[in-house]
Amino acid sequence: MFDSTYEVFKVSRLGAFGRDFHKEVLLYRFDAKEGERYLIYVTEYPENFFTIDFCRNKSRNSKNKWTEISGLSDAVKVLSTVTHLMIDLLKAGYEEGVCFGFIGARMDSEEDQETSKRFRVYRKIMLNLIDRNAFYHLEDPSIDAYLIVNPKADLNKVLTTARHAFAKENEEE
Amino acid sequence: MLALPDHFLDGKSWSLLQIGMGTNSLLGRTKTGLSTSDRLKRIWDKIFLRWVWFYLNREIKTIIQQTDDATKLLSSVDSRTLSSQEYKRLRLQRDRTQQHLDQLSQVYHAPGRKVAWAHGRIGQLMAALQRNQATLDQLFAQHDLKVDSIGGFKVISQDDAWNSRTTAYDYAT
Repeated sequence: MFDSTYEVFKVSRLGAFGRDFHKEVLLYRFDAKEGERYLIYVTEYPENFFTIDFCRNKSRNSKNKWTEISGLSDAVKVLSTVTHLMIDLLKAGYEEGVCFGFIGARMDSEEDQETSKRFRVYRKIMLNLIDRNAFYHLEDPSIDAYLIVNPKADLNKVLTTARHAFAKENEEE
Repeated sequence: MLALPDHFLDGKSWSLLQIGMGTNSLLGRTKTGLSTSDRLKRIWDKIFLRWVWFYLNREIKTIIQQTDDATKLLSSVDSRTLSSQEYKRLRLQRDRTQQHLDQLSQVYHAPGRKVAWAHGRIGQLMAALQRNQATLDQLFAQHDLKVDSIGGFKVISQDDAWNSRTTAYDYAT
């Protein structure tokens, strides 16, 4: 089910440009069903901590870009593509202690729920595809956040960075 | 690559164990008031039962030896050296061993007359499997952070992760 992916291309490396916390953003793209183009933002923070976000290219300037639904019934392959990019980066940076984190964005209709639907789906994918024996899995359902932490990393520093990064992301939204 | 034996009673031995136990308890109930032909039948049953136990005793002894060898091997394994396939195989084996132990326990504690040495041998097999389970549990605990939460993030334990998985998938990491 999660074996099939779209081909991903690296587009550019964006500097922090006056942002006070993250180092840079790696931008990737892939073309999905019916020519729908997606962008993947991999943001690098200190301590080899990265966050990953994706959205449709045509919605990249919309304030709902993280929560909108395409309606093309292509979610599995799109999610698989993004997850496999993350896994490739985790594997490539294993020795350096690369860690990842993300937030399962919450739709307006989910405000009164304990966790967002995206968080629950992403969590399931992480547990199925990323070996718990090779990486620590941590979660904070109250903010729909999930972390994949490399055992070689300094856990406390990574967690502090992650908290800071998620807070910044929320501010920017 | 870990080469571990499949230390379970196979289908034939398992059926014989159940027949043996069943016949055993029947013989216990039909001790008195039998006709000559029934007595002859009972003697034949006893001889048959003796052969069943002779075969099973040899089988169970071999399995106990194999299980103890596997336990010894596992006790020297560092879980960080295991491949994800080996890890998955060991997790599945632990689940299967637990099921097998539950089945053996039902036979062991079934009411009716019991042959002491056969009963003792099943007890020895259960003890060997329990030692194996305890070693596997130690192995799986090697990578745990041994805390429920850290820095406001909940740590997903090995067991949580394993139980949330759909085991049809292989890890991609």
